[in-house]
Amino acid sequence: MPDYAARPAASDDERRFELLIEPHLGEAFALAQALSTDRSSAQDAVQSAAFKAWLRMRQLRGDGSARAWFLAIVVNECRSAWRKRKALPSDADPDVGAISWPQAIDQRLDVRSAMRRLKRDDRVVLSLRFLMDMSVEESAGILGISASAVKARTARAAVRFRELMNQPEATD
Amino acid sequence: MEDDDIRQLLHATYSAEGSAPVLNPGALEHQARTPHSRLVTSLLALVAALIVAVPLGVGVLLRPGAGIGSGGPATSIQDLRMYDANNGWAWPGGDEILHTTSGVGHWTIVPAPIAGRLIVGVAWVNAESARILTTTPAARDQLEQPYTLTPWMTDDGGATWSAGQPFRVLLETGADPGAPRVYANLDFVDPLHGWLFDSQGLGAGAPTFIYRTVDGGLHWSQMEMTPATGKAAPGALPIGCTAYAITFLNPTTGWVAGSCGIATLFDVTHDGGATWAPQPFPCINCALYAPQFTSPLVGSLFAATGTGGLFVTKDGGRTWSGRTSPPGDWPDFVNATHGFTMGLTGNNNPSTVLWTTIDGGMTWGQAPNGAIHGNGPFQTSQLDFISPRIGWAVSFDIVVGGIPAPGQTPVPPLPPELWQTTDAGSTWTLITPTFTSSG
Repeated sequence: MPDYAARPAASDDERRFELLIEPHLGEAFALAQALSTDRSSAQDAVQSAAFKAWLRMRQLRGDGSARAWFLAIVVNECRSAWRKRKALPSDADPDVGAISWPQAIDQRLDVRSAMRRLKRDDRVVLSLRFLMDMSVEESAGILGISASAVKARTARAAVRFRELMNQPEATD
Repeated sequence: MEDDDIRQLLHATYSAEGSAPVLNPGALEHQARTPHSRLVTSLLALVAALIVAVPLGVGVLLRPGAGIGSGGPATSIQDLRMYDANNGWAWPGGDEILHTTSGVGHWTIVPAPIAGRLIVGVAWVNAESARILTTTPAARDQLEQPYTLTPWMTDDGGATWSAGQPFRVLLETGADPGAPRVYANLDFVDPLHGWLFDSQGLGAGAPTFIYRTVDGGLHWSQMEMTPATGKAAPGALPIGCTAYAITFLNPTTGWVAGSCGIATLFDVTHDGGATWAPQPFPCINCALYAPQFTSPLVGSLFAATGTGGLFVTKDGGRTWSGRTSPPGDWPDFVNATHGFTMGLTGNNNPSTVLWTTIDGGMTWGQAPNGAIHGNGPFQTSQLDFISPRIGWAVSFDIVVGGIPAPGQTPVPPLPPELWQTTDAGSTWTLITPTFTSSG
């Protein structure tokens, strides 16, 4: 049996990971959910992102940027998953009929539906700006576009999101 | 709708809240075999915490398919329930239901004719009766989708199955193979009376659904649907709580257990789930798991507190008394005095061993040779005792879920192991069961 009492002290990288990345795992999963069509894809994205962050901890310069740095990896992992997936599966249960849930649940279903129907770039920018509450500059850094482009894309995405929230998803 | 409205909607929909990660640091540490892998294990701990906890926050996991014909791993014993030394059930996942009348060494595969649907809930009623719920494969892994469940029933050991009336629910309602006693989604007290419970996740304020059948699963009706916010109606379950499980003692009396913020959730019904009322419980600020009854009067309940707590009843759940904190979680009692649990040995030793009590949880002692599976990469996740001496343990490869390095192929987990004891855990025998198709 391994001698656990004699194990070495945690490395600096390990401590930095626990200090800088661990606090953001929850919101990373929230972001991944917003950018994924199903739970397992969101899990995979966060899992891969965490692993890559772990491997690249020494690339992280300055503790203040850890959140944006890690969430950028999450976004990239979600984008990578999109590329691997040729077609998005239908989210609708074919048996779905008219059914009334409590308002709060209905609203969440509507939000998920609207997000799924947004263009991917719009979904990303909305998630960064409004779910992750990132600044225009932070979002621009993650997306690799200018601040003005972030503003324009955010405005466009918000308009489309409002439209979709008022257009219930058709079910068969 | 302003930008702030969108912000609030997105946060309300996606932000992960509530449940603390469910971790077994000992088991995670045990995965470490080299200094490098130990560091990775720390990462695994973090990621596993997220991967384990967050899905539970949005509903219970569906079990992945497995077994013959699916290209998955070979059939194995999981979710074991023996009623005596010869008769019992098991569910390895997928569409395979296993039944035995000749002990754990030989099983008959008795699949229900569910035509490609996924089994999302299983309830063993007695040695001959079982109930399952199925849904469409499209429902798997979806977040917060309403979908249809179709019930199936057998009362002859799986030789014949009959379908019930499909009904609609919200979100996932599957069984979590890793925590079979924690999230009791489907619970029958006899062949006729059963309940489907889904807390919709462990996040605080997650709505709670309860459905009931009184005709063996043919028809289900909604008994409770607690909204996430607002004020509870008279006789309804409280709002803003985290309900872990439902347990019924008989067709009328049952409990919903969990936590309300830092307070304890323990509500009782005496009319089959139509109305609920808080029941005083001698554990302040505790998260309670489902009561387990070994007779109409005798039961136990495990509470998640700082160190874990055990409570017992001898009057059918009317009153509960605290016991010393058990050395492991969710003790398995066979009567009022004899119980078993897997727990750590202390001294920073990550291995779990069998602990037993013969005085109703007042004291616990390590069983001789209690390290059931030696020093292998296995962790016992289920104990099933039918008497103070005879029982079984199902162990899993705890490396499951490891993250391979980039470019490396994941190492498939070793198949689960089934161990048997006939001397209260003093010695264990590895069982290699055989399987026969009913067809």
